[in-house]
Formats: sequence, structure tokens, C-alpha cells
Amino acid sequence: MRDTWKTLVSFFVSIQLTVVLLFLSLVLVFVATLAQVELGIWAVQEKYFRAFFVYWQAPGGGLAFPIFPGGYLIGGLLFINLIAAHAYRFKLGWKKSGIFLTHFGLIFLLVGELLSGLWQEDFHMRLDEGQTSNYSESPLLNELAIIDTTDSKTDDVIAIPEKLLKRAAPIQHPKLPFRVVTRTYYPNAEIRMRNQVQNPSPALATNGLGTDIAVTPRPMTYRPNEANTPAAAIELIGTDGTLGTWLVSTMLAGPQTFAHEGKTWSLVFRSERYYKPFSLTLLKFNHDRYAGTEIPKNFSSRVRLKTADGQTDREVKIYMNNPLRFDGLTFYQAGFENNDRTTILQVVRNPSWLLPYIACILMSFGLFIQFGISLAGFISKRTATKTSS
Amino acid sequence: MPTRTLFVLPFVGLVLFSSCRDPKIRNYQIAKEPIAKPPAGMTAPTAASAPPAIHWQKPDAWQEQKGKSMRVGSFLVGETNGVKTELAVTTFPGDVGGDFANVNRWRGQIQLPPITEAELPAAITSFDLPAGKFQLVDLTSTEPLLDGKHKARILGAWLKQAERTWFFKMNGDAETVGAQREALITFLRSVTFSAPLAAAPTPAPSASAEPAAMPLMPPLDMQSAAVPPPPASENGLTWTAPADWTPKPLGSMRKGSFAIRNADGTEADLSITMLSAATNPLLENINRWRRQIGLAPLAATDLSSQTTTITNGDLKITVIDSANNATRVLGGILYLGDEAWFFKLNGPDAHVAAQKPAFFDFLKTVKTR
Repeated sequence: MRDTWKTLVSFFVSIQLTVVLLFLSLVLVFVATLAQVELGIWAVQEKYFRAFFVYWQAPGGGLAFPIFPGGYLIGGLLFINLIAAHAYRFKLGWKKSGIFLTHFGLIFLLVGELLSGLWQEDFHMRLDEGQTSNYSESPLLNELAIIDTTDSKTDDVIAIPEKLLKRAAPIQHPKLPFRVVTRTYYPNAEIRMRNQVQNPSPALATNGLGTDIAVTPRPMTYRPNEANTPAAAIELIGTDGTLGTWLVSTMLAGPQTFAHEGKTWSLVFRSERYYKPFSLTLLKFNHDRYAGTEIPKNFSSRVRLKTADGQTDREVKIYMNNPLRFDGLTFYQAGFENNDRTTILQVVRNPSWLLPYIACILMSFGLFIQFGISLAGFISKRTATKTSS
Repeated sequence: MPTRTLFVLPFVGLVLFSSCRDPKIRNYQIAKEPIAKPPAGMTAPTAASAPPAIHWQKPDAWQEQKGKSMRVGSFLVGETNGVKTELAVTTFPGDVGGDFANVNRWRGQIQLPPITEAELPAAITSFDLPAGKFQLVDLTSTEPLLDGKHKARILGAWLKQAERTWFFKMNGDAETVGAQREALITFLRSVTFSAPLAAAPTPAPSASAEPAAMPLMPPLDMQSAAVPPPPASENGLTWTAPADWTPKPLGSMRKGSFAIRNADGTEADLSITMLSAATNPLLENINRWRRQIGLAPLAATDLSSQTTTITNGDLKITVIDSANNATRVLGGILYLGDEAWFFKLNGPDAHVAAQKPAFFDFLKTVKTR
């Protein structure tokens, strides 16, 4: 037992492990950079860096095999390696203080990236002129919202992430008087009216709009300017048996409604929403151009910020490099459309945004101290040699 | 020992952090919001943005068609070898994604590759007509898409106004559409506009709280921007309702829907729905209806004594009459292959009881197509 522990310790504190991990991370970054051409930055982050392994999927959509360590595994092992080496060899003293600080900065950097991956929220808020919104939407993730709309004043929302629908395991939530079972799931699919399709396949749904809609699966897209439009056939099963199967798709703009056991329910497959305790109203979007040209000069959104408790009610101008920071969120001017009448704000929350800065300062400071100590030692040695000669 | 603890901590931390990424179901309450606002340019006409009234002179040979929601106008232009050629007139606020997107969407519908933005001007023909400047594309499929024999063709015209765009899309087999090109331009020449129409009253929600047809997102054809309520004949059954029953908007589940009112305005609701026969056994559905009005479920042995059967040719409809707490449900269940059809008349006890003979007569009109 003791020998096993010793082997484990010597493995995790070894400099060879550090070198191998750094080499693997070089390869990972290189391959992921090339893959970005095909997959786009979001998919590459998820596939190569925010994963324990990089998987290769057998042709035909079969099994996926891990073929290379992912960012979390390499970063995690480096993190353990650094901590272990310090814990094992750590001796407090001025001579190694620079190295200690540099490594400490590196640990901060690794932890910072991990926390960003876990905690960072990156959403969009889309506002037409005059429109008020109190939620932001994910540009990448979708959810099936099952909403109890019976109450005249509030809606009770049960939001099921797309990833859970994809797993196809029956979903039972205490607030739902039925189970949610995914019968069919397509990560990207086109929907058309059945009467406009030659020889449409059988309808996936028995209820709702889906009975009139033909679904055609499409390959997933990873291009930054394109979006996947997933679709699923969802069966709801109550205590007395099935309530029916509904087709849900992000291409269906509004909810499908049904009644069950005296309650009214809505089903909608949409971008993941995050509601805020405040609202923004777009008063005016401006797209300034240089005089006599179509060259953009400035984009700006004049919005009204209002909290639910009424304590904040003010106008704010959001433009390039001048985001609105409120309630831990940062609203950047990200885009516009609809003939300059719709603004798109990027809404970011990153509680660990300071960590990379702290890490860089620590590493720079550590390197400065370490080289300073070496330089001072070298100079004093040289001075001593000169003096003795 | 402290050294060992230090070793273990990073492992524990990693496992804990990685578990945070598991997607979780969220539950929250929000203040009721107005019906989800579709993207700009896709909003259905509302009272606030009511379109101007459009008028036209249709060629005599074209037949006006009804029952296509969201369409301002719909015409059967011709039929050759069983392939229908139709013209649909629709209108939407804004420019609906722009000419480039719209033309490529139409091209995609007849399996033509998209064109580039530079090729767009050459693909469009403009006409200055009394109602304004119309633009038109003429697209023919390269493959015989219709029944594997006939090429498909789209003549798509649109007219932009300050706040909206009007679409006139003729769709059918290449030969018929080609022959109707001049007729279409004559039709477009006849188009005029007048003051906005009065906004249609919002239909009252039906008993099953089904929504009216709703818009689809831009990648769909503009003409399919809402699901048209299917007429009875498209669903395997036909029926004839008494003249004093008022058809109601179909929800997403209903195949038929009627309001039955008496002289003092009391209303009963008749819904016709279709579900899978395999998952909807007779007894369960009868007991579901009974539970809805607070009655105890029936046992299987009670079925024959509590139900009556209406025989209508080959069709056998099982009818149950249940009343409790001043509410009555008259329900008819018909099994047709793997389909189960439900005819449910629900409302105040006395009113539904008075309508019972009419309901039975109605069930006798139900026929397969």
C-alpha cells in the first residue's frame, strides 16, 4: 500500500509529467486551431477544451471513442502536478520565491479558465425599438419550456435543457402531472408544411401543429453565422396513459397549448432563457455612418433600465466600448438588424473575469523576482570574482 | 498526512466542478407575458398593424379557395394530370428577410441551388404597375419533382410598401405555371389598395385552450407561416353540422370545433379530436370524461349498460351521456383502424341535454372519405 502511494506521489510530482502534459497541450491547441475552420470556435471549445477527452465518432454516427486527452484532463493533471510538486518539495525561502509566485500564477490561470467554462454566462438580448424585455437568450443552447399558464397572473415554467431531451430518458418533474419522453430527436432539422413536400414521411406528432409538418433531418452546422434548428417528437404520458406526441422545433415561433387535468399547458422549444429582476426597453437604435458613405461610424442603443422594485429607472446609452454594467452583468452592443430597428446586446456574466489578470500579474511578478534574484546573484558573484582577482 | 490531504483536494475539486456542468431542469415563476413576439418581419397582422385592404380582378378561369389561414387570397389556377397550380397572396410586416433570402428560399423549395447576391438582380424582373413596383422571379426545377414526371415552377412576385411586403406566389407544374404567366401579370395589374380593414375580433379561447394557428420562423415558406386548419375531409372523416352550430377556430388538437348556443346565449362546446387507438382504450377515455365532471369511474362490466352505439354504415360510434354538478358531457368514440376519434359535447346540463337529438343526428352524418 505504502509502495503504491509512493509510486503515485512520484508520478504526480515528476517533472516528466509536466513536460508530457505541456507537449500534449501544444498538440491539442494545434489540432483544435485547425479544427476551428470546420467547426467554429464554440464547437471547438466544447469538443477539445471543455471536455475530459476528445472523442472520435465512428462513421455512421455509431459509438464515440476517446482518442486524445481533452483540455479539462490535461489542465486538471497540470493543476494537480503543480500543487503536488509544491506540496512535496515546498521549502519556504527567498531564493525560490519567484518560481513559487510564477507557478502560483499558473495555477490561478488554470483555475480561472475552469471557472470561466463553468460559470460564464454568454447570452444575447434582442430588442426591437419600443420593446421591453427582462430576459436574455443563449445563442447556442435550447430548452423545452413546459409552462403551466393556468394562473391569470403568473406562468410556472419548467425548462428542460436540450441535452436532457437528447438523452431520451423519461423525464419526470414534481411539478409536471405527466412524464416527458423523447421519441425522436434531431439536432438539426428543417420543417416544412406536409402539403408542400413531395412524399412526406409520416408525421412524428399525433397532436398539435406537428401533425401537419414534415421534418427533414439536416447535418449539424458549426459555422459561426449559421444556427442549428433542432426538432424533437415529445410524448407526454400521464397517469391514465399517453396524452399524445407533439412535435417541437426551434423553428416554431410560438407555443403549442393543451389542457390536462384542469390546467392549461404550453409547450415551446426555444433558446435557453434567463430572466432578470430588471427590464430593458430599447428607446432608439442609432447606426451612424460617415457622411456621404455607407461606412459605419458608430452603433448605439439608448435603453431604459428599470428594476422590478422601482429603485432603478434610468436611461443608458450602450455603444462600442461603453457597455452597461448592472447586477453583475455586462451588456455590450453586439449587433443590429431589421433595417436598424432592432438591436442585439451581448449579455455576459463572468464572476471569474479577474482571475486571468491576477494570474498574469503574479506570473510576471514571479519571473521578475526570479530573474532579479539570479541577476543579483550573478552580479554579486562577478563582483566577488573581480575583487578576488 | 497533510501532504496526502493536499493530494486529494485537487481531485475532489475537479470532480465537484465537473459535476456542475450537468444540465439541470429549472423551474421558475414569471409574470404572465403577452404572447411571444415573433421576430420582426414575421408578426401576424394585428389591429395595430392592420394591412390595407387589397382588391383585385381575378381571371375567370381561376377559382377562389377558402380556408387557408394567413393567406389574404388563395386561388386554384389550374389542374393538369392531377397536379394543382395555386396562387397564394400573403402579406407580412417589414421585408421578411429581404429579397435575397426570399428568392433563395423559393429556389430551395424546388431543389434549385441558391444564387449569390451578385446574381440576384439578373434573376428579378420588375414591373411598374398601378399598385406600385412589383418584382418577379420565375423559377423552374431542373428535376421532375411532381409525381416524378413534371417539373415544378414558381412564379413569385412581391410588392414592397413602407411597412410591409405583399407576396403573390404561383406554384405548380412548369407547363401550367408558364401558361399562366401573362394571366398573373394581368392579375397584378388589377391590384389596388384601400383603407385598412377593421381588425378581426380575437377568437375566444376554446375549451381545450388551443391556440390559433401560429407563425413559423423565417426558413419556412411565407405561405406556410401558419398552420391552416385542416378541413374535415383531410382527416379521413367528413361530417355535416346543423346550420345553427357555429364553427370555431381549430386548435392544434382539434379536427372540428363548434359552438352550440341557445336563445339566451348559453353555449356548449363540441370538439372533434383524433388520437392513436392503441393508446386510447374505450373505458379509459370514458372514465377520463367522467372524472372531468366529478363522477366515479365505470367498471368494464358497466360499459354495455352505460353506453349506446350508433351504427352508421360500417362505423360504430359508442356514445356515453354523463352529467354531474350541472355539467353534462355527451361523448362519442369511434375507432377507425389505428385512429380513435372523439366527439365531445360539453356544457351546461340542460343545454346539452336539449341538444342530444341534434348531437345524435350529427354523429349519423359522420362518414369516411
